[in-house]
Amino acid sequence: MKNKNKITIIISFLIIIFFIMIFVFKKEDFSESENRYLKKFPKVSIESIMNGDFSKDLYDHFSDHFPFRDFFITLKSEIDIFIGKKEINNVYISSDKKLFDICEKPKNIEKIKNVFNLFFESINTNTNFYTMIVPSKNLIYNDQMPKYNTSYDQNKIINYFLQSAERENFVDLRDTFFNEKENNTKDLYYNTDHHWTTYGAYIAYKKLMEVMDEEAVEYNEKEVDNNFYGTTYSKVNLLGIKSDTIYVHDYKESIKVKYDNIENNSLYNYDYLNKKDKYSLFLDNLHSFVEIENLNFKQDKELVIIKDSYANCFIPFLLSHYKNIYIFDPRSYHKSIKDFIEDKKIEDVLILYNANTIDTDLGALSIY
Amino acid sequence: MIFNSIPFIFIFFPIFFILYFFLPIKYKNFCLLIFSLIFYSFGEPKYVFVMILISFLDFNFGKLINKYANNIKIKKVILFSSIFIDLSILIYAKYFSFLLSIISKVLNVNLYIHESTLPIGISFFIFQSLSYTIDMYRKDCEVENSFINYLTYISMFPQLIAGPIVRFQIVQHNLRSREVNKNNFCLGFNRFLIGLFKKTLLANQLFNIWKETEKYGFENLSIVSAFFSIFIFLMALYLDFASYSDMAIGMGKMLGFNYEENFNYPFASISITDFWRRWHISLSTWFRDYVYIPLGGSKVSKINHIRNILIVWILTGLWHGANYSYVCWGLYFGIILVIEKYVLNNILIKMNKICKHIYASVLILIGFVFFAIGDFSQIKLYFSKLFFITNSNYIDNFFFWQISNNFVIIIIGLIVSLPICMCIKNYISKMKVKIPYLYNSIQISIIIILFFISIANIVNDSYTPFLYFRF
Repeated sequence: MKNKNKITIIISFLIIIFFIMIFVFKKEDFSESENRYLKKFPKVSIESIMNGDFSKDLYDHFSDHFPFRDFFITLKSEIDIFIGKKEINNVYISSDKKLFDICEKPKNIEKIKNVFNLFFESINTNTNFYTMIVPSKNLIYNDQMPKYNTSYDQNKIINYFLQSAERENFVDLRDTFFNEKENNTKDLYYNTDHHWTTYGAYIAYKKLMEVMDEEAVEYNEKEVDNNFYGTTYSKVNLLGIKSDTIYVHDYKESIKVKYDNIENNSLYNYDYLNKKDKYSLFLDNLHSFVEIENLNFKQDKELVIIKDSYANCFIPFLLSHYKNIYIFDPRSYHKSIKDFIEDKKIEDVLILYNANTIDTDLGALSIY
Repeated sequence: MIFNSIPFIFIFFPIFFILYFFLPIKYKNFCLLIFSLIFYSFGEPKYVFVMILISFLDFNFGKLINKYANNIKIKKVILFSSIFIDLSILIYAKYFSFLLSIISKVLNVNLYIHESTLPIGISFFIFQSLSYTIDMYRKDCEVENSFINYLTYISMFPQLIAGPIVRFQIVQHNLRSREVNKNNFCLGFNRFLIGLFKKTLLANQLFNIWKETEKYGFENLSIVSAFFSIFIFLMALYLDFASYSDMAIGMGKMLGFNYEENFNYPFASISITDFWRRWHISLSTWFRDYVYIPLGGSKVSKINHIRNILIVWILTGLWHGANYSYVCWGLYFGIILVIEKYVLNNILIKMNKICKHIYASVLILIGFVFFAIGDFSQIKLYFSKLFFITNSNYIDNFFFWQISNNFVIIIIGLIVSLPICMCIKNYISKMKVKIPYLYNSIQISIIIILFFISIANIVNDSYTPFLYFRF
């Protein structure tokens, strides 16, 4: 038999096998490895068929539910690495398989900084403001990223916030982090996730205490999980990447946490350790407004934090310094934070964002 | 529907070909027609009626021309009605808002410009349909009496959306009777696979580099990156288009149709005249036979000849899209063709072969800047980078990064785009004679591996990394 005929028979056979599997395979609703919901079979209506939505959704549905989808996604990444690619889905991969999220050129920081300044000026109480724009791994470990990469220089973003600081104290973490990187081997960031580690947060906390002129507590490290594959990993899905270990700060204070009409006494929700998205154990993932009360604290000193998810593992260190900590996520909190601060005569306000995500986080634009 | 998608390869393709293969001859065209209409409706359901309407009109015009075959006057009227209606539909669908914008600029009035969506493949199937009535008028083909056959010809899914533009005279015989056999099926299937690999493994990857260039911003490019990027764009465009033609020709063969080739290693051209004999051949020959030659071709005065060339090339540009940049692109090549015919003719003959290749490549690259970028201020910016007009570096990180990141894809893309691959193929076929068994098993394994990688690429393409920045 001719070779072309053999090829035809083999590949046709494969196509028919996949054809059958597409219809026989059980369809999952949620992809654990990508951490997202998969596209359901689109609803059939004359309107959706006529305007083409139906067919677009059908394409996505079939590729989301293709048999052995995870295998094919990993295969694609492995082949890319094999042929020498150093970037997959906006993640840089160094030769020793370290992962770095790309830093995109910001589009909104001027607007955001403007909103911050308006917000600070509008508040009529005697409040101290602190802004902390956390550098990414991308900046601190720039020297380990693949050569010639064209990632945006995050220094420019941080410098912009530093230079336009008016009423607030800008906490610049860069020197501290570079110093830590030189003299210590402990990870400041997760390799497989875009967040900092609890240790990284602790270093930042010490720096903040230096600026506030207060004494920092000791880091009471406790390992809670050693098999963490985070968001960055989910974008590349490569084999042979070591998992990260999650540590938490085992605080001694007895506290009361209130959010969404739930009352709780821990900052950590260990249920998330059974899920993919383990970083969410800090502060039980996202809530528009969280109130933490330190039951042993005698004075009436209060803090407001406006933040993104970077702050979630950072906040436990602050417990011993305040009676109450109020945490706002302006993406979903729509009342006036300014009124809250003025009503309660809040002592300190901290704005904490990651330099990479602040630009795309539209919450930062809506604080004032 | 697009070829490199899961619904096409794993659902449409097997169902259709199994049915088609086992149906008796007389139902084959009907089966092909129904599936072609489904194929087209998938995504563009309302425009399927436009296609049927055009087919219906031209089918009847063809019959009328046949009826009045000896009365030149009536024949002419019928032909002109056909051309008029077809072109009106094309102009309305494709150029209406463009024309309105010109009118409103010239007359300095504000016209409401309604942006309509373009029916996919309209330029292709209208040109196919036009070729039928014109050929009927010229008695170059026989009248078609079955509307099913005619609509099948217009809507045939392999080449419906992006060519090659198949003329009725070429497939007429095949429409009535054709040989659907195992041998052709396998040959066609292999050709289809090659197209699929080219598209998913090379064209899409290379096109991503161009997208990154756009994202990076033309203002930041160095001179080397500017040449590199437009070169990558051209290579991606060629591989994309040629892969579509491969898949179309391959599936045509599986169905029993013989289409003509659409590309012949355009990057091996030694002049611009040569390039246009190798690039999108079915379009160039269409314009040659239906516009250039009727206008008098080259057998007229020098001035008229130049006019004819320029008309054809402005139309070629316009055919690609309603945009000034396409017109400039066509005109650019038209002018070079005129210069080659009348000025460079003797110089080019004497030139060293390598010089000719360099000459052609540079001019092609520059020309395709118009094609790659629609906006004139951006085109100007790009040219300023290419020719070092604004301050920029000779070379920058962007170039090194793209090379280090995509080295293998670029090299394979180059090999596939150049006739080198024919040499390699010939060399390998020699091994086939020496060690047939080993050769065959290696070939089969490579195809299976490439097939799996292609699926991986297709599955990944719609892969949206989880939008996880909600923290």
